[in-house]
Amino acid sequence: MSQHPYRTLPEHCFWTEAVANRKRSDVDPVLTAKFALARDDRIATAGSCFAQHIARHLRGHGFNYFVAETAHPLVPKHLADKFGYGVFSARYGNIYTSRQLIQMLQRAYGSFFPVEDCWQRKDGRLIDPFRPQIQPDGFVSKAEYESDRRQHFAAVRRMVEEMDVFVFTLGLTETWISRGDGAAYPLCPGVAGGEFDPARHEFVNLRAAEVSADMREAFSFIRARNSRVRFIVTVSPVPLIATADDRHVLVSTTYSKSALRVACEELAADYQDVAYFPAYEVITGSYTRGQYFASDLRSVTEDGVGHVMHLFMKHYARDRREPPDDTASRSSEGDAAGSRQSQIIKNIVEVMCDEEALRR
Amino acid sequence: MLQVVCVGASHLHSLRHAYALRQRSGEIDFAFKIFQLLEDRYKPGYTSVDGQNVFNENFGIDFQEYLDTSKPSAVFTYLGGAEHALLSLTKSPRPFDFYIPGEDVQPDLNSEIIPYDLMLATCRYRVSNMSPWFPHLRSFTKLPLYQVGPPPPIAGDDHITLQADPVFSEAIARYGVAPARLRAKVWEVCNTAMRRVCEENLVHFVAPIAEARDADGCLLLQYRSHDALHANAAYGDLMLDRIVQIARERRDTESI
Repeated sequence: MSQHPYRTLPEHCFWTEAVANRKRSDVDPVLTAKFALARDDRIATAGSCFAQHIARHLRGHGFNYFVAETAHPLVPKHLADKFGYGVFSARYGNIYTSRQLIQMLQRAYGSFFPVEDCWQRKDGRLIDPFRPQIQPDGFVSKAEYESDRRQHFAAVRRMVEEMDVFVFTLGLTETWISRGDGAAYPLCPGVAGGEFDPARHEFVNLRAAEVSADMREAFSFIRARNSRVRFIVTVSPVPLIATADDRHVLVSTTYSKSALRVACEELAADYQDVAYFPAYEVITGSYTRGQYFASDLRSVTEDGVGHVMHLFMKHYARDRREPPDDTASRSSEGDAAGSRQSQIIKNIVEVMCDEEALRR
Repeated sequence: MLQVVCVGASHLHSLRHAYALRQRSGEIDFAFKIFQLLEDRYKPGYTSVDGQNVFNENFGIDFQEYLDTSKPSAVFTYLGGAEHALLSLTKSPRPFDFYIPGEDVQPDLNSEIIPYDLMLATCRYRVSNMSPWFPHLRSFTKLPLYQVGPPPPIAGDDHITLQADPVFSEAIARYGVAPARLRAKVWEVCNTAMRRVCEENLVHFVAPIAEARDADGCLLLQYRSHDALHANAAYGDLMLDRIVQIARERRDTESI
């Protein structure tokens, strides 16, 4: 029998053994994690819609999920969720592209000031072009808008400087930018605020090299302020809901995900402290026979998310603690004080508030 | 004689005292009936069973009997009204403030600024506890419903510190009393929320007595009660005038 390199390869290198002949839930493309997460590592997240699932599961599985921008303790949780608090580590909403990420960091540190940085609705309410859905009906005044953004940027800076691990999920290559200064919007102007103007806005479909360059710049930016941080990058498996390129959305989806995947591969290969986590492969691999997508063929099912997070914990969370009672991790002094106040309010409601007493 | 009825809880005391004083002085040309939901026989007001609100039977029997025998022209409610205190009587360990649309006064920018919409939604969440009562009351009568807005927050840090309900003691000792203007702002937003809940339930909202407010928007000292939340009989007297006037107008309209 002739010898060749494939004779000695491990099982996971062979499709039949590693994929085709395995139960769906046993497919594990991770193999080994590049680094492990310690019990107290502060894990921050950002990214596209799929990143919300990751954030939710991190919170629910005993990780030290780091939320630098929490809602005030007076605010009930369902309202905090509705207003975008705790969905990610700061209230930046979905960050779909690498360009958005680096610009968000630059804006938070005052090194980029987009010309078009506020959209006014016809009713006078104000929308943040860079997080247009964070405030369901916009801000009531310019002063409120600016106050909230100051707080938001302070939270982003705190996140950058205090996190131990940053999990970023890349979602899209397609983006809309300002022709004036290149500011990248998460949504096309006019969709959730603002007005589309072809003289001011243009469509850009980032190439793999551009994604890679943006991410390198983002890593460098963060490392300059926090040398201990490690990065986990993932690619969202969620297909594009629409493409602005004049071609089939399936073709655009394949391009977009491929470019993002290539960028991640290069980043993980070039940096010791950057790991790629194959959530994309777990969800989209043909071994699932599409079972990890809901009926719209876009939304990822809880089964799929569960498989991803099972692998994440298996490989990264060797020192994981049990889920806490309060799934939203609160670790700063201010948040501890907030929890105390929440408890005090709860006590007062139970004991004193007479209308509450009417309902047992 | 004009029949006036009000269903509520702790804020009813100011109306009850005001009415009692009028009775003693003999200046009375109406009958005032209150349904005090804090009475043992009416507790609990309602319970949730399989997602359905099941209301106190004693209340239903008494209220129906009153309606049948007294024939009021409207039904007033004085429900809720402690929400603003719950949210802002004491300073927060995370000091906060907020902008109010159309108001030029700058909030405390050293505090955390809560977006107004979120503040309103938070107040509304607290205020909404009273809303199940409206369809319940409507199940007894087609008379118009009027919800009375709660009195402004009490002024005077020392008074609040000494007279607040014991459940606030720990928070007051630890954090102190919140600034008067902030407490008044939270009360205003709670009233906005209450007004909206009323509108959605086709309930008229009876605004609190504007003339009873001081420069910060809190209750003038002559109207505060012995505790840190409620108004006294003098305030109740002003509100009773307003309620009686509405009831009289309703009766006169019906009789035309």
